Amino acid sequence: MNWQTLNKAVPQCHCEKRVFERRSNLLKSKFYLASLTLFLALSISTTVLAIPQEIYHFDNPQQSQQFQSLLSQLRCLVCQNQDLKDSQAALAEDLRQEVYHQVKLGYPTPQIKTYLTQRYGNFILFNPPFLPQTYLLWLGPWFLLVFSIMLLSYIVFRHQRAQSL
Amino acid sequence: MQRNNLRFGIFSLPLIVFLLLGIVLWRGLYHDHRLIPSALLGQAAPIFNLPVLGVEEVRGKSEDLLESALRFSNQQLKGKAYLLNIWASWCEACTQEQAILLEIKRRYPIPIIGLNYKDEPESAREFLKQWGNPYKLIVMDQAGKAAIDWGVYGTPETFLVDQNGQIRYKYVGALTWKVIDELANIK
Repeated sequence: MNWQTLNKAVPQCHCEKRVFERRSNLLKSKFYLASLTLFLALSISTTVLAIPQEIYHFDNPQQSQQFQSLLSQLRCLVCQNQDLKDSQAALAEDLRQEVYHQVKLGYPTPQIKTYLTQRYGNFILFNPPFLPQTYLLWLGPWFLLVFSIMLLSYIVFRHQRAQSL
Repeated sequence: MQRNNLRFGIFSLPLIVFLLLGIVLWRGLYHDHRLIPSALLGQAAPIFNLPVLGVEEVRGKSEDLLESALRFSNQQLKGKAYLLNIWASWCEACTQEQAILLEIKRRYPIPIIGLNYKDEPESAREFLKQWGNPYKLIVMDQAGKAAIDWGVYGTPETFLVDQNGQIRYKYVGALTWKVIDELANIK
């Protein structure tokens, strides 16, 4: 099977040569901003969502909304900085299909998320759940901030006190 | 004297933080951040029921497992430990691990089931002819749906399932000789 003859998204190989790895960050910033403005400019409650080469039809705007919101919360595991909406990877396409199928069946968002985290772990969610294992992750920066402010004020007040003497 | 000690303590704090950070980042250099730990370790292996790849050599060797020539489910492997290897003919890293899989097949009695991921039967057969066939039998997952149940996000990936149907070990990427030792330790 020849790589070059495939004109659709190619599945991922855990190889040394990542020939098809995209410069996702740069691409994402310009493309994402452009597509975001376009998306906002169009009516938000549509029943059709179009991703390049894929069209998703929904019975009502709520489902379309649920689908889009879900896609932006889920990480593409191949291009790990992109969400499922942006990613062109084959796995992202498969997962989009699966999420679409479940949204159409009327499954609630938490159930779909559980389905995916059961198989791929919490890493597939951009926002990890707030559990004892992730307290450090969520609260760590705040502690660091408070500590830095305390240290800074200590140094500043010491300097002031030294000056006023 | 006490003030000097306190000063020394405060000045050495950034140094300590720097050293700790250095250790953490140094270790991070050798850790592939793209690897995701399996969410399925210790869980029951997901059931699949997929068409079998008709390869003449395979058919001959898998007669004890193959009931019908059409589909196979891992439920038929109840009570037996097995290795599930996710592979594809378009996957370059899979060529690197064929030798190791053949070695595992030679050394251990454990059956190796191949799950051909998002591939064509013809290409799969060509690949096996070229690189060798370590598999007891091969199932075709052309849509990739069964693989999602196993948390597969690329090829190759290898799972060790024990005789109770629990997933004990998962390796992402082409197998290496070290992995054989790890696998042997688990059994």
